[in-house]
Amino acid sequence: MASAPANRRMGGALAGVPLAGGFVALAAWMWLAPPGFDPQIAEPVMVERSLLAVAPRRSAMTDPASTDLGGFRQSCNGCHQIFTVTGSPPGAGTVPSPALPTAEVDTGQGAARQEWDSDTGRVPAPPALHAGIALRHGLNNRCTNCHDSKDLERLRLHDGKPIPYSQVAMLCAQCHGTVYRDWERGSHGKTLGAWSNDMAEKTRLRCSECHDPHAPAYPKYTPLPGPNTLRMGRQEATHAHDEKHRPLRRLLSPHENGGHP
Amino acid sequence: MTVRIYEGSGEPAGGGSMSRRSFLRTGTAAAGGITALAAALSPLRELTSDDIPSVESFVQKHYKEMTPKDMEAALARIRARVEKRCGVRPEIRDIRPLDGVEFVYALNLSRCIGCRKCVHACVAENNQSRSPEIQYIRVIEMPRGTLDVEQGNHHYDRPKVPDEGHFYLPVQCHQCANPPCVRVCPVEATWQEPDGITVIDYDWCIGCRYCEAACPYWARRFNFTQPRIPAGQINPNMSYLSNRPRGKGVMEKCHYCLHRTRTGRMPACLEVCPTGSRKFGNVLDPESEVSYILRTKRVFVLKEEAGTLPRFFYYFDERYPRGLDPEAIEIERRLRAEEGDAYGALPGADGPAPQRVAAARWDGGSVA
Repeated sequence: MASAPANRRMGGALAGVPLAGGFVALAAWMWLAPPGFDPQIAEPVMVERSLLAVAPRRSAMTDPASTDLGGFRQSCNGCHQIFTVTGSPPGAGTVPSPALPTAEVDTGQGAARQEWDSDTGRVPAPPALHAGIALRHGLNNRCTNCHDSKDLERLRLHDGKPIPYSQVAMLCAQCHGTVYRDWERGSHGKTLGAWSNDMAEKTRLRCSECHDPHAPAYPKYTPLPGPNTLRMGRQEATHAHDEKHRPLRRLLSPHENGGHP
Repeated sequence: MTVRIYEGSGEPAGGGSMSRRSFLRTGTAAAGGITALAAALSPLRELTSDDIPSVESFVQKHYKEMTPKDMEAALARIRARVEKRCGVRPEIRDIRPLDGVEFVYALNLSRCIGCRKCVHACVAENNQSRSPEIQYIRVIEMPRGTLDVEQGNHHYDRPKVPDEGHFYLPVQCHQCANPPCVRVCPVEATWQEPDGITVIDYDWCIGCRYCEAACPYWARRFNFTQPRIPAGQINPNMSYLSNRPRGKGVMEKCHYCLHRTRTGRMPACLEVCPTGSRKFGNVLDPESEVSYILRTKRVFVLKEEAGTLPRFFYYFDERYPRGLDPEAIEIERRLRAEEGDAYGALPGADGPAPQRVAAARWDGGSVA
């Protein structure tokens, strides 16, 4: 009478045997060789320490002005006391007369006019020592706009007053007034050392410690490596509007992107 | 010994001995239980001695509750741990906020070129994990004409920056005056200091990541694994609340380099910036650079509508960066057409028309 249900029970219980065995095997595997969590972690991206150096972007000219001549520091007047520069044509201030021939100097980006030796009307080639100077300063393309034609070691203001290299900001301020105002108050330019006005370590960089006076626009930089996050991994360079970066929008409006409805 | 097992009916089964059915059922349940236990315990096999805290560090108090003596002991423990783990003897201190100082950051979007030097200088300064990578600063490349960060891309990989069609928006912890991350922390492991810096006690954090979810600026980072820093790249100048090496399972974020700034120095991201876009200082000092910027510049904060009152401000110098002002481009185009080769000569005694002066104001020749 009870045999049929008993057999059924027996069959159900027997089916549990492989199940239990499976569990035991699983337990043994988890204990002996746990699967573990193995996230894909990329190798660290190394950035050269030299790229992170804290220093002014360039070394500015200091008084007395000098140049590198065959491995020796040589003052500008060492040559320029012999090879004088007559400067701008008489009567035109800093502006060359249109009748005067000018030399075209290839500066890589456009030509800059030289005004050397205007008395004879002949313009010699720029001295080899100055060949490294790329003059890309917009409309300000006359040497004697900033350099004193009488004393080429010095800078001079538009009114002829000489100024030392340490006060180069005064020279730049003649044209870049708003930038000079911001630099004086600290919103333009760079402050190193300390944020506190009371600390001696606080140093403000001068114009020419960041900008090349002959080509003041910043060059383009090679960016350092982008983020490589645990969750997302390194991404391909993509445009901001690439739909790959906006999966939600793609889901919400599939028709816009030619996706399947 | 007789095992009496009752069936569901409550009647003793099989005259006092265990039935086959109940044996198998019990066995299955036991095996399942052992399996579950083994699975739950298996991560313990990966524990190292670093993961098991000493009794002293286990009972270490919250930062705010530590006496100077407690702090000395805690710093000594950290010194020993860092030396063992990284092979460097750190100079670790607990640096307190300065009186009368509230730090504020300002960033000039007209000048930032997106070179990412700040990102990597920060990593070097603050002993972040290099692999997996943790960085506090995200530089987002944004299309011009919008501030919708959804349209930005921080994975840009151009040969040269800046790109003409974009501007660059570096984002890091904004040290909010009304910080949502602090409010959600269930254990008060993060709080705002009197000088405005929101800090984390890495030994108190339980790693729930609520703060990461609460931050509208994506400024907080989580250590999913033990941070890995290559040998020789540890910065030994540390403090308790800033850049001491973190452990697995804790949050971290930018703290305005408080081990530097609370001693008067500048943050690392600022000093490395080649363009001078980054400005830092004491907003309570009316003579400071940041005070001048907040008074006189066009300043905005990111996600103002979130009500977080950030201490990180973005500002502009001019309406358009040099060379991109449509008005100036139009003037130049017109003058070039009118004057031909004579365009660009400086106005002189005998020369050019006065309208050239207008063009000369725009320094168009310096566009790279």
